[in-house]
Amino acid sequence: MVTATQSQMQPYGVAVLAVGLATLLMQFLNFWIAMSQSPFLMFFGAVMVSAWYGGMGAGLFATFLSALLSTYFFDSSTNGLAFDLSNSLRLSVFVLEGILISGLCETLRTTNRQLQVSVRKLRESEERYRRLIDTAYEGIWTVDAQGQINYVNQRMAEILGYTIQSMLARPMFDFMDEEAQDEAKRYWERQQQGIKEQYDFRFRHQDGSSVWAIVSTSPICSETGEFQGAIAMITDVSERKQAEAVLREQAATGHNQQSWLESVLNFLPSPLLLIEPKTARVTFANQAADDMAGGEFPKYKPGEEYHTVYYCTNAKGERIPDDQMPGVRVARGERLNGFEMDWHTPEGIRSLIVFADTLAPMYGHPATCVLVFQDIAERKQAEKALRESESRFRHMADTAPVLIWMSGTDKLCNYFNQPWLDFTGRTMEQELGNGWAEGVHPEDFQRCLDTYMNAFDARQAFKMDYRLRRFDGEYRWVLDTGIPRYTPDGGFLGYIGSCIDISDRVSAEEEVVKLNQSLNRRIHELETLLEVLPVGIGIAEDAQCRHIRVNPTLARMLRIDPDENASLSAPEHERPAKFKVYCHGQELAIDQLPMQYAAAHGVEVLEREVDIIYDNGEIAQFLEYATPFFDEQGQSRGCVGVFLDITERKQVEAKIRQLNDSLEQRVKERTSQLEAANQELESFSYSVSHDLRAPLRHISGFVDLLQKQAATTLDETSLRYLSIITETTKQAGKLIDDLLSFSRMGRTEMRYTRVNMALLLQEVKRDIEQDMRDRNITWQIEELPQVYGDPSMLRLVVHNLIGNAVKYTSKRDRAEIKIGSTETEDECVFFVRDNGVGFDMRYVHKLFGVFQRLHSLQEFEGTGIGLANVKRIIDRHQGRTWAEGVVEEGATFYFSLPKLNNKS
Amino acid sequence: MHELKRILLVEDSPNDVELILTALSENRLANEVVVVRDGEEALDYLYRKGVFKLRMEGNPVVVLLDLKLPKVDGLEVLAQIKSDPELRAVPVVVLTSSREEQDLINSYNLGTNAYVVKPVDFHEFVDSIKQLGLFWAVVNQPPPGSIPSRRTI
Repeated sequence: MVTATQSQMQPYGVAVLAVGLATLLMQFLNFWIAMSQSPFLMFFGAVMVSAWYGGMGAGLFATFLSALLSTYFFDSSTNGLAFDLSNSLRLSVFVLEGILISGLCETLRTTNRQLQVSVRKLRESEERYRRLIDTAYEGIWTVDAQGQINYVNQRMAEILGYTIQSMLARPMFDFMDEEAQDEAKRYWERQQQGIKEQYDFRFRHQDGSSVWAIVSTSPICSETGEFQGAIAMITDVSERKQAEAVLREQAATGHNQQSWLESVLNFLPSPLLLIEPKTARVTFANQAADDMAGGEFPKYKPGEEYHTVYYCTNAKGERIPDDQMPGVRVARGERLNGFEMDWHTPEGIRSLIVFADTLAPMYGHPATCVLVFQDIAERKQAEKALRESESRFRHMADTAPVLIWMSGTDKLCNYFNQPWLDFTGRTMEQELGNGWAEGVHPEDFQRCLDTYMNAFDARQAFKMDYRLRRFDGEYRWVLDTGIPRYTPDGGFLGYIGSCIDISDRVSAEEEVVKLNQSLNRRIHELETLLEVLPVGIGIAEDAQCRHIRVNPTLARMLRIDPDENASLSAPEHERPAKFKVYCHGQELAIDQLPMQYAAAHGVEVLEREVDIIYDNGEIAQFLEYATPFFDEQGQSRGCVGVFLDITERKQVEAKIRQLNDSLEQRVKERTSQLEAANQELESFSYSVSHDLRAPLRHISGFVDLLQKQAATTLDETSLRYLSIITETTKQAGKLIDDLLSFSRMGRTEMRYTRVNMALLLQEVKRDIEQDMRDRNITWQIEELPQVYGDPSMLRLVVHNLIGNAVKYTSKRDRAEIKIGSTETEDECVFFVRDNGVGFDMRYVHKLFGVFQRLHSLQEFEGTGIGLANVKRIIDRHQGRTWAEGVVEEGATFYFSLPKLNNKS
Repeated sequence: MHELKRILLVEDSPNDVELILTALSENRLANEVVVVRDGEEALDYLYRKGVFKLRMEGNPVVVLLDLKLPKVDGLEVLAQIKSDPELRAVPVVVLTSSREEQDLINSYNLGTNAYVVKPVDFHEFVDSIKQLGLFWAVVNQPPPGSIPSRRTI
C-alpha cells in the first residue's frame, strides 16, 4: 500500500518538479527576452513532460500549477495578481492546451503500454509455435517459389530419413519418385494459383522405400499477392495405410463372408429372418422367406407394418395379436422353440413352426434375432393322412368280424381291437401285456403259451385253438392265427394275430351233415325221378361226352341196357352199336350230335329232331334237348340230354296233315259247288225275270184281247172272272219284279259315296206323295245327317220304309209320319215312325224275312219283299235294322249306318 | 218267194209274236214284219242264207231282237250284226222281258240302238210296241241300203 501510494504520487512529484524548473527557466530567460509576450512557453514543456511521465492526472496538475505560476510571475499587465482580459484569454488557452496534451499523452502512454504487451506476447507465441513446429508429430516444410526447401522440421527429416541440414535448400522433388513427382507438379501448379489442398501422397524415404502421407499444403503469398512459396504439413500415414489395407482386406473378407453366409441362408429351404432386437425390424430375409412372403420380404420396417400384410393364426385358427407375433416376441428377448402357427399371406396360408432366439453380439456383429420357420404343411398333411390312415385301420380293426391282437418285440400284447374287448368284456388295460391270458382256459393255457413262445422265437406264423372266456363267462373255442409283423425295411415289430370264434363251427358241421342227408334224399328223389320219368335223360360228365349215363326210359328208347354207355363218342369198345343217329336222311357226325355239341361248345341245343335208325332197320323220331354243365371256371364239364320219342306224334302229325290236305280239298270242292249253286241261282233269277214274266204277259195280253173280243157276248160273271185274271196277273208280275229287285240287291256291287239323307228323303217323299194326293198325312221330319253309302240302295230303303208307313196308316183319318235320327259315337240311327196299324211284337222276328207278311192281302197289298230288301241293303252297309210296334197304335222302324268318318 | 218286209222280228215265243203283231197291226205295220224264231234264222235272213237265200236285197229298217233265243241267242246275233261293216248301220232294238242290268250293259256295249222291256200289263205292252213300230218304221230315217217304205205318212 505504501509502495502503491509512492508510485501513484511519483507523477505528481515529477509535475511539480517540471513546473518548478519551467518557472526557474522562465525567470532566467526573462532577462533576455520579455517573457511577458509568451508567459506560458516553458510551461507547455512542463505539462508535456508531466503528462508523458504521469499521465492525465499529472498533466492536469502540471497545467494548473503552470497556469498559477505563470499568472503570478509573468503577467505583465497586472504585475501581480492583477487581472485583465487578454491575459485571461491566454490563460484559458493554455489550460485547454494543457488538458489536451495531458489527454494525448495519456492515450500515447496507454497505447505504448499495450504495444509492449503485444510484442511480449508475440514473442512468447513465436517461441511456442517454433517449439511446436519443431517438435510436432507432423512433418513440416516450406518451399520457396522455386520449390526449394527453405525450412524443414525435425519430424519431417525423421519421416524421410534425412537430417534437417541435408534437406535444406534442396528441391522438394528430390524426395519423391518420378510418378509422385508428376503428381506433385500438378499440385505445385495449383498451389501457385493459391489453392489450399489436402491429399494422400507418396514420398520416397532415404532408403528408397515409400512413405505414405497425408499432405496439407497452403501457398505462401506476399502482401501484394505474389507467390512466394508454400508450406506443407505431412502426416506419415504409412502405418495407417497399412492398417487400413488390412482393415479393408478384413472388411472385404467380412463382406464376402456376409455374402457367402447370405447365399448359404438363401440356399436354406427353411425361411429365415434376421431381426433387429427391440425394434423388431427385419434386416435380412432369405430366399425361402421371400418365397413364403410371396415376394421380397419387406425389410427395415416397423413391426406393425408387417402385420398389415401378413397375419398369423394359432392352432385354433384365432388370430395372433400383434404383440404376440414371433418377430415381436423374439425382439422382446423371448426365445421360441417350435411355436406353431399358420401364416396368412396374399399367397396363401402356410403352416409353420417357428424357432427364434437372439444371438449375442460377436465378431463385431451386433446382437441379432434369428427366426427360422419350418414349413410343416406337408408334415401336417402327412400327419393328417397318418391320422386318417390310423383311424381307418383302427376302424377296420374295430369293425372286423374277428378278434385282433398285436404284440411287441417283448412278446407282450399291446393292442386288442374292439371286437376282442367286446368278446371278453374286459378293458384294454386289463388285457394288455399278459392280461389276456387270464381269459384262456386253464387246460389250454400252457399249450397255448408254448405254441406262442416257440413260434415267436422262431419268427414263424402259428395257428392254435384254445378256449377263451367270453364276457358271459362261457368258454368259447377260438382259432388264433398269428404272424410276425415287420417294418417296411424288415425290422421285426412283434406279432399280429386274429381269432375267430369256432364254437359255432361245430353246430355248422352238424348242419352240414343234415344238409348232406337232405341232399342225399334229394339225390335219391332225383334218381327215382330219372328212373320213372317217361322222357329219356342222358348225362355226360365230360366235355367230350365220352360217357353218357342213361335213365331206363332212354335205355328203352335206344334199345340198350340201362348200364350201357350210350355215347357214340365213347371209346370204340364201349360204343353202342344198336342205333345210328340221322338227320334229314344223313347220319350225323359225332361232333354234331346234340349232346356232344352242347358239351363241347357250352351252348344249349333246343328241339333238335333226329331220326334213330335201329340195327333192325326200324326208325324212330326223337326230339332232343341238350344243356351243358359248367364248372367253377365257367368251362363246360358235360351236359344233360333230354329225349322225347316223337315217332307217334310224328305219325299223328302226318295223319293230321293228310286230313288237313283232304279237308282243304273238300273245302275247295264245296266252294266250287257253292259257286256253281250260286251260278245256278243267278241263272234261275235270270230265268225267273225273263221266263216267268212272259207267260204272265201272255195271260194278261190274251185276257185283254178276249175282253175286247167277247165283251158283248160274255155275261157279267165271265167278265168278272176275266178281270180277276188280269188283276192276278198284275199281282204276279209285281211279285216277280220285287223278287228280282231283292235278288239284285244281294248281288249288285255297292257304289259308296256321300249321301245327303235329308235330300234323299225329300225326293222319296215327293215320289210317294204324287201317288197319294188324296191322303191326309202329317209329316214330321227332323234334320238328318249325311252318311256314306250306295245312294240308289239307300233310296230304296227310305222308299220302302216310308212307303210302308204311308201304306199302314192308310186307314187313319189323320196319318202321322215322323222321320228322324240319333247319333252315337260310331253310328247314325234313322227311324220312321207312324201311327198306323202297328204290329204285334211277338212276330217282330218275322218282319224282315222274305215273303213274310203280318197282314193279309185284303187288308194291305204287298209282296213281303220290301222289309227283307231293307234289311239286306242295311246289312250290306254294315248297319242294323230293327222295329218296335204296338198293334193299332203304330210302328217304328230303325236302321243304323256306320258313321261317315269311319269310312274314310 | 219271200216278199220284202221292212221289220225283222226275232222272237221264239209265238204268243209274244202274236201279241206284238196285234199291237203293230194297230199301226197297220203288221204286214211290214217278217218273223224269225231264232238267232240262226235271223242271221240267215240278214245274210240271205238258207231259206232266205232267195230274198231280195236290202236291209230291214229295224230289227226287233229278243235276247233269249234257241240256238244262237240275241246277244250273239247283236254282236254279229254290229261287228259286220255291211250290217252295222242296221238299227237293232232289244225287246225283252229282262230287266237285268247285266243284259242292259251287254246290249249297249255291243251297240244296240234301243232297249225295251216288255211290260207285263197288256195295255202298257201294246202302247210300247205301237210307239216302237211307229218310231222306227215311220219316224226314223233308216240308213241307206234299207228297204224303202211302200207308203208315205
